[in-house]
Amino acid sequence: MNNLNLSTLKKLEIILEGEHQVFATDLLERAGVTGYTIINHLSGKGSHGFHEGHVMFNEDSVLIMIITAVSEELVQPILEGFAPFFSEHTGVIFISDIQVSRLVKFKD
Amino acid sequence: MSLALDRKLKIRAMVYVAGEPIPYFWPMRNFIHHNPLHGLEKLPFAQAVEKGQALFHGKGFLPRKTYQRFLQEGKIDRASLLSGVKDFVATRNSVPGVDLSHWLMTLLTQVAEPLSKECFVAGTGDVHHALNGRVPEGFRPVDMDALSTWLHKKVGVARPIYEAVDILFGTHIGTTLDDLLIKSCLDFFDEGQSAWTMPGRESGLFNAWRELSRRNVRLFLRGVNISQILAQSTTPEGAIAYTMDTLAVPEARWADYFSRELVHLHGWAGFIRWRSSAKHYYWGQHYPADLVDFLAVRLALGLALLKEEANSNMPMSAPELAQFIDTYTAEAFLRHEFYSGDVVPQLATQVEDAILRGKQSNISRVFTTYVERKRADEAMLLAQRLHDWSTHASNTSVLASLSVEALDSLLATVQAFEQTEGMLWLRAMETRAMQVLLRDVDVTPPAPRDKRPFAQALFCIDTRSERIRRQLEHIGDYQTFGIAGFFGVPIGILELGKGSETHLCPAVVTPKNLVLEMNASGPVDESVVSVFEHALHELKNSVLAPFATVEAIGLLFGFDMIGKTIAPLAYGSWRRKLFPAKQMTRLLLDKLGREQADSILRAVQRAVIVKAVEHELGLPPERITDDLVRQLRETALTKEMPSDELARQLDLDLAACNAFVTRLRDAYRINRQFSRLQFERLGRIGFSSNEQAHLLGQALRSIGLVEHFSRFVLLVGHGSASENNPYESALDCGACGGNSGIFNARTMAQMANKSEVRRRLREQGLDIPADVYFVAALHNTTTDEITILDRELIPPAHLIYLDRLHKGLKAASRLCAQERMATLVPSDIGAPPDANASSRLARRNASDWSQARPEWGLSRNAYFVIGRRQLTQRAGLAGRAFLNSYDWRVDPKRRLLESILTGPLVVGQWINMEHYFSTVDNERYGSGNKAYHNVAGRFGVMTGNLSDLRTGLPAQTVLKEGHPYHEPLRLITLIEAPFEHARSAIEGVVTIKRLVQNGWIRMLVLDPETLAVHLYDHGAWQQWTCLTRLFSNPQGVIEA
Repeated sequence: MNNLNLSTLKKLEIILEGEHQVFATDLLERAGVTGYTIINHLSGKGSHGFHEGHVMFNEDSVLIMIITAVSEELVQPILEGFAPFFSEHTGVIFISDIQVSRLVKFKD
Repeated sequence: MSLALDRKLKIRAMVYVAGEPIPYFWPMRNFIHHNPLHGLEKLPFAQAVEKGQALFHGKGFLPRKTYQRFLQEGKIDRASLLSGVKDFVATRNSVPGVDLSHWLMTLLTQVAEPLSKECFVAGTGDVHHALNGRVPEGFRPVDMDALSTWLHKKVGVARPIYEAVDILFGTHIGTTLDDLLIKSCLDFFDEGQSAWTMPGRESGLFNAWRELSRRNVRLFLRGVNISQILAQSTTPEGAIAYTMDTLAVPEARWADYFSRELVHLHGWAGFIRWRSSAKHYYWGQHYPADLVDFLAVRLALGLALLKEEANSNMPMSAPELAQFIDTYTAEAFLRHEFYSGDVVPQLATQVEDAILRGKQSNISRVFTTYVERKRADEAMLLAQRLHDWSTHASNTSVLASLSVEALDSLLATVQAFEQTEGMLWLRAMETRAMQVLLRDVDVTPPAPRDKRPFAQALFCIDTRSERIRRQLEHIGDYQTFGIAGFFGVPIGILELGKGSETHLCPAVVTPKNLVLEMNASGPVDESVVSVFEHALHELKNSVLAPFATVEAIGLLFGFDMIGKTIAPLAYGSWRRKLFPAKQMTRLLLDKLGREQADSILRAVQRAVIVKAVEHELGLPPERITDDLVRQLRETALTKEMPSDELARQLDLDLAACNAFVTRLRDAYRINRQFSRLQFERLGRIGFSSNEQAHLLGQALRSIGLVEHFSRFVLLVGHGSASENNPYESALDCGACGGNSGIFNARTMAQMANKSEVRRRLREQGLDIPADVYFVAALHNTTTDEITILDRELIPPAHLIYLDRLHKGLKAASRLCAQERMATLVPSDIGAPPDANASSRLARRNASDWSQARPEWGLSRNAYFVIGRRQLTQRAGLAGRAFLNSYDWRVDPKRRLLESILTGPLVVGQWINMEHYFSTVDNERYGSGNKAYHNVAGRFGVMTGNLSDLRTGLPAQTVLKEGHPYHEPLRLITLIEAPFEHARSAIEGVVTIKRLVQNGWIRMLVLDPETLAVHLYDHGAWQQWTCLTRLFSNPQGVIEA
């Protein structure tokens, strides 16, 4: 473990409705994010009631989560960018501090 | 000017949100029915309609006259209408001497035109005078503050600046802007229709347009100085920010301003929205464009045109516009009256003269005269209408006796009433439709059978299946089921002769599995192949013959040739001419084993290397040994340097050999990353046996077919056949993404006949006996014929029954055609055609180039029934119902019901709303008369040779002889299940819950245990009282 050279990044977890996936990933890419992970069919409860995660034949209405890691200076522009969207739509962004071992994976 | 990242992203998000009210527009070769107000579904129906009116200027209801006609024809429940009126009256103050319920009911049913029109100048006192036969009182000063507020609302806030200028100064900036933008779009989005293509399309819409416009002499000659604006920014976000800053529109209003810009050409905007979201779309991948580009072009052009029109008087920004209205209120009003066409005709010349001269003293004088005249006119007109109304209500004397206050209250009531009247009509019409459905519902449990039916047939839930199912059941021992036409198997198909993948499932799903159509009747026509690169041809014939078609190689292995084979030749009729006789084919739908995939991949790479060596190094074939190829491949795939030995075999020095290997990695893509990608793509082919069993089991359970299987189980997909019809795809299967259901039926049949799949199902408790054979078939909805597919695969033991099956299907087809043709022939023709004549007529419709209405398609759809077939088997639903078989008893966890609600029901609701809005306003929400349509860019149609892309359905689909043929109703959905079971399913899925609660679907639940019917209405579930009467009455007659 001592050999690991850890770098600090911010993790964004963006939860929104599946039909907006392309919008969200496009915005991230334009912000310079080079990679992300998407989890589909989330279940959970929020202000709009319970969302079922198993529904089969309608991908637009399931909740998804996009997980990405970015450098600190990107956080503010991304949040600013998503602001007009989240003022109209259900969803959240969680931001947390993380450490990664291979920083090169998160650069251009 | 470069824009900070946060501002750039924010603008993108604002444009995204602004574009959301605009519905997607899919290319017409895969026509997807959609709700034109889909973006407003988060609002209750009535509010969304109102917002749609403000945004799209589309009407949300039929004209009163049409509803009155429906009322006379018994299609509207008068009692429900009256109860709606009474509910309304209960919320209003009473007017002395006026029986409001009676008066309003009279207004609805006997007065043809709406009474209240915005009375701007005349007050109630003026109307009161007019009613009493007196002239309005003399001069009364106009409240200039109120006038200015009205103008701000009407002109200032609600419109883009150039549009406000148009309406105040009579310019035509909007029209010119639309024309220029459409031309740019036609150039950029062309999919092979035009001979000239726009340069630089790869760089995206905004960039390509920007490059071109900076050099555009045509624009320059017109005096439009676009380059000055374009010099300010190189990005679309920058151009948007620059324009909005120049127009000085406050940022808080931007999103709304963007929406109002985008709805001007909502067809194009909708197409661009869809296109930028469709990742697999070939043209979108190669020539990217999104709404931000489109808006940037529009705003920049609009600003340039506005500047071109500029004169000293004209406001050029939001603050200047506001100031103009505040300072020159009288002039602004007169200008608005004159240029909006509302001007009092007798004073038009005077008003025009005053505006043109521009002298404020003169304007002020004309304004006073004008307002007085307008006041008198408005008062007289309204008084006349009130008088006519009172005559209908048989109470003419009461009006004259009303006080000004009472009259004011009456006028306010009428105005409020006429704003909500559409909903009253709609609800009363839906009530009647619900009564009709429930009247014929049969809730008696089915009698137990002593033997299995001769054949079972699974039809699509499509409304057109209802007729043929009924006929088939009628003529013999057939049992039918309704299931979404993709049979619950979402697949992407790679069709023989096509280089692109087609998604065969509802548009809300992206299929993960790919099925390949394989040639089973010998080699492909060489002339078709000859256009491809020689290497690929060889690959096909040698290595991959058993696995893939030449098109598949392109798609699976990423060789960039999809564009050459893609058939933008689009509309099916043209395609059939190119590929006249389709060969016998089989579907590759089993998952490849890891080794198989590996070996295919290796073979492809070897073949590519051989070609590379031949081509680049000119080595003769005999020197290209297997071992040499192996070494090259391994070296290319690892990051190692080539060995001396390898270099020697290639007659190269080490450096040249290394350069060649590098070239193999880069240009021929023999590298690890690309191999992995290719491997992933191969992994998409087919389904594992487990998946196949799961899909089949789920499909059969969802319709309640779990026992008593017949010898034949038909899987009937459907498609339409018509000529010269850009809307052909709209007549195909919506559950298959606007395609024919043929491949889904074949896929499902092939899966279901596998012993391995059945073995797995048996282990899960679903036993399909060995003698059951699944037969794929196609229902041609234009001719009503049912064709059995893959006939050569039918086992010999079943062949002896085939003749009986054929005869049964044929008889049902003829009866169905007869039933349907009666609705297609002109209504004054006399006796409808018999079965023979009908079949002939149906076939002629399918091949007649001049036939504008080959079939009615899904017109008149009204119901969606989720339940057992017995429920509606005896009800002749006249092709108006989507029928989804469902047996709640096999679905204790409600998963199957939830799947039906989110998939098929949502597709049904889109279809229903598309028909609804195309009928109530065919010009705005529909696409108008088909006769004037021209195909645009091979993906849409325009009216004439330059217009917005026409969305929605043409008049020929929803109107007959000028009147609505489709009866616009919200989809009346009936679920047969215990109430709590159904309610939990509905409320468990947010999408469906929202659609029901916001009134986009009328939801009924028929509880088979208590026989009570529950309706979601006025924000709550209620037991529908009619039903107690219904079930106590053996004839099921409802008192209307």
